[in-house]
Amino acid sequence: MAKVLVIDDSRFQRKWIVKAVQQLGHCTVEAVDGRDGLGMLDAERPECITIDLNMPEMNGLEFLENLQAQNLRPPVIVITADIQKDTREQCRLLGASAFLNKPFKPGELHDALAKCIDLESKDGV
Amino acid sequence: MDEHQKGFLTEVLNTGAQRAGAVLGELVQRHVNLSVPDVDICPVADLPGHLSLFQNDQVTSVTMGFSGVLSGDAVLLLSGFSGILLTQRLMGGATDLAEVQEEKQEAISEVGNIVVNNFVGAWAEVFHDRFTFGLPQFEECGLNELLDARISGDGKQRTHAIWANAHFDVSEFFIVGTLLTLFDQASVERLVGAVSSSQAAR
Repeated sequence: MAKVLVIDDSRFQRKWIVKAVQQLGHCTVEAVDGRDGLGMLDAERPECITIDLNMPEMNGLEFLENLQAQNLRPPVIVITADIQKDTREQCRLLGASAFLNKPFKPGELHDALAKCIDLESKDGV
Repeated sequence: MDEHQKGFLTEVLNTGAQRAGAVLGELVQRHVNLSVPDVDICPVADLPGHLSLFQNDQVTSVTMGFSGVLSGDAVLLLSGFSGILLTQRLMGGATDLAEVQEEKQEAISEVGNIVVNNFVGAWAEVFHDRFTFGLPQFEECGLNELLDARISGDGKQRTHAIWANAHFDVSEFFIVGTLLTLFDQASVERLVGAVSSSQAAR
């Protein structure tokens, strides 16, 4: 079982993601935007992070930039409504491990989490 | 805009509308009936005449600003009780009306976010550009009030609407809506130019 930090400004969407992650046997902590999530990393030490892109305060791309600047490498799954190929590529360049479009299918989340948790066990945070 | 430009624009908007309809169908787990968008450019002031279905009731809407080669607002417009019916559906058919009402703003905002991203995001491939989006803004009000706020609420004069009247319905759940885009005059001119360039590149 891994601890997954779920970052999304939409309470409704967080609820869906948390439910899906927990159904896959993992535990969750929640943050309402990138800044909130960044502030929780030290205390919570998540094995994996899911993050939305379009959020107030600190958006998902800024969050990824912050991780990169601090040389932090927790596996990150981007879960966004943005379907543009350039956005996906930008996330990849900023170190995202996986990219899912909303609404995601449980199988897609399962595969992305499995990949990320496997990465985490090899690399550490 | 000549007939060829209009035809091309209809095709572009239809691609976006199809994607938006498909993703809405995934959310409600039902087929979404979608009309081919009736595309035209008209002054925003004339819009209510095109949206008679929405004129008498309160509308539920989610507006998202977008910018890129074109800038404007995309609006998911739901008629009458469609907002509450859609929320109910997303909550697995919840029957506690107070609970549904409490979740409505969050739920519809997220639906708007997903549908508008699919609608506008599909244009990125056609225009070879990337769009950035503002945060979803949820509103419940009369149609005229909504349009007034969108025309000048943020200080940007949205004088014209490309009204892609992509009318949709999920008849089983009585959910009815449309997708609108509002542009300022400069963006309308850029859009016509972008359509011409894309046609020439074909």
